[in-house]
Amino acid sequence: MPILADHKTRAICMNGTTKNAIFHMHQWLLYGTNVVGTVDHHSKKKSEESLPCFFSIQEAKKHTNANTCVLFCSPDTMADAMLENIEAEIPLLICFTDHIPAHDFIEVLRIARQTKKTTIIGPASSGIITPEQCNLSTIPTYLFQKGSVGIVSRSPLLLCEAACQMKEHALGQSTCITIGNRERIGYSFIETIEHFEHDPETKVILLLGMASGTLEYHTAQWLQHQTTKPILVYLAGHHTAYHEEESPITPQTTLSLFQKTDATVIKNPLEIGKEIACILNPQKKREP
Amino acid sequence: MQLYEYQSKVLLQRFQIPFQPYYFISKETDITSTIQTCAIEEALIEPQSLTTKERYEAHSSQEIVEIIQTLWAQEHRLFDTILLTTPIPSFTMPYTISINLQSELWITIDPPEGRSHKENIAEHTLHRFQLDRLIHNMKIPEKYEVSFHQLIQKIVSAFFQLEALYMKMTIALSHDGRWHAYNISLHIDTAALFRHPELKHFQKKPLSYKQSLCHPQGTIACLANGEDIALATADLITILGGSIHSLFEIDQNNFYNSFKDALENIRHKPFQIKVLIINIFSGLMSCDVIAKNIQKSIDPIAKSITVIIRFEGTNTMRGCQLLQKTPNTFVTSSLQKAGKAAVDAARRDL
Repeated sequence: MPILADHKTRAICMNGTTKNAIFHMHQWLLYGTNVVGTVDHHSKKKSEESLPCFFSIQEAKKHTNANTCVLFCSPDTMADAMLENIEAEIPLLICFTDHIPAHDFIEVLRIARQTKKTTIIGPASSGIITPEQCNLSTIPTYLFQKGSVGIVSRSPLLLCEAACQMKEHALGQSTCITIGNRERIGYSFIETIEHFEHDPETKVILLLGMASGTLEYHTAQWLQHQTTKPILVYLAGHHTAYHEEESPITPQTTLSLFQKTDATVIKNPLEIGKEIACILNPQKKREP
Repeated sequence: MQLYEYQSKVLLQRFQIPFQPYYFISKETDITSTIQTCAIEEALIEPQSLTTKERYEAHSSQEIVEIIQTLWAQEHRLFDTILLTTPIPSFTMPYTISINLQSELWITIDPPEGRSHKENIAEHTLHRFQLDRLIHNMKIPEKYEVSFHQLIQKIVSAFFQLEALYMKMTIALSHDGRWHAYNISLHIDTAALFRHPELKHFQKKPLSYKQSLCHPQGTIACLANGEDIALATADLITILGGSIHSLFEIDQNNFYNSFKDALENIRHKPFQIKVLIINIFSGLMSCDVIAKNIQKSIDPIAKSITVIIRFEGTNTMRGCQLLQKTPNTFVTSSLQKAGKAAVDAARRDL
């Protein structure tokens, strides 16, 4: 039972007649994802994949029973699109678009939290992939295989690096989620870990973040007394003397907070795969 | 987008936030005429820079001109504009106010002594009871309560109307009982500029890549197609004993131009950069396409420093093969080999 996206997912694609959306939708359908239609306020034509195109999310939900919406809208129309989805009570929104005005997004987030019916992933997310079941991401799928590691990553590149190393150790993933590498995002590390915690298929949780991030700092604070499953953490930039702005959160403070938890902090980015293998297979000795 | 203080003052004045009279000089030829026109005898002189904060006090118009001329004559000056402000006449109670938009919006007030106080701003306004709580906790004297209340509402309103991300300022009471704001820091959301065409001229031409300086004495520059992967590469280099000078993050949607611009920047970097490590994890764009883009622009830099390229992702082998023959360049699909080669090359060139 993976989290958020699986074979039961019925995805609708908003603004799905754009070139970018058509390319990705084609990939998703090839992977076997259940994409049930598109929504476009300006066009009623069928998509290139012969999927039905609806005028509104409400109409799409009524006809297809969609439970997930993938948004390819432009930054200036994104808030409106998200509000339309919240009103239609679509349970999951995946937002790929970057550079959404911060005030717009915070307002959307406030309304989503009040209604408690919709989870927003992103903005600037690269999507979700549940190997062999559902792909709603812009990440190449050949790196991923079915397994028991739940991965939550800020962005797709570290996720690919980790998946690549896991492949060498014949390890697979339950679900991989990219939550977006911006300061203001919807679904966070904490919510993902909570979901993975209740997922019987996930045996190990891998968190890939950035050492100078505020979100990572708050996750470390929360993690002090919360989980039962082994968690591995790699924070990019914790060795690098690079710290943005006058923030009181430095890579060192976040790292030391994580070290106080039960999480295994991976220091070398080349050892992500090896560390997971050691946890899943304790007989396998760690090399010095 | 962080604004200079003089730009912030111009914007915030529209919201009737009170400042002492201020002037700014952006051309050397305007120095004398500006001082004559504004007829000030005392001024705080602040060169406008986002990285350093310098402040000079002058007590005569002659001294003002002298200081500005000296500043302007500096060989490597880091500013284009100088802000002149008339000092606030004997003031008390400087409170620092900051508003920060995270996943929620908070206003924080730091009094001159004691603990700071925070209030959550929901639905674009501070409620009356929150303002009362602020006034109580900040120990604002009763006769200034109304003006304090009005000033805070103006600041909050400016924050929303300008779609700011962060705003910080100090407010103080002058001897005549008026509030004055100074030390302004204002960050505007560039993603919302389409709604604020009047703010667009504050925006500098954005670079096609993102650069972050790590260690000024470092010998290795790192270029990657994402911030996290650039940082991970930098971590590896540090673990292997190398020292990173700076990180370059390439825009994947504009790969060729972004890559070319970043290389051009590295070519003009200080002489101590000996090695460039390029780490590309390709997803939808395959390695051979990226390799062709790299081939077009790598030659000038490969003549002066060692270039290490690590490719992984779609069509890795073909990408590596294409770049194999480039002189002074080492291509691999292994991050470990690339990191080691970069550190070895940097040591060899010392």
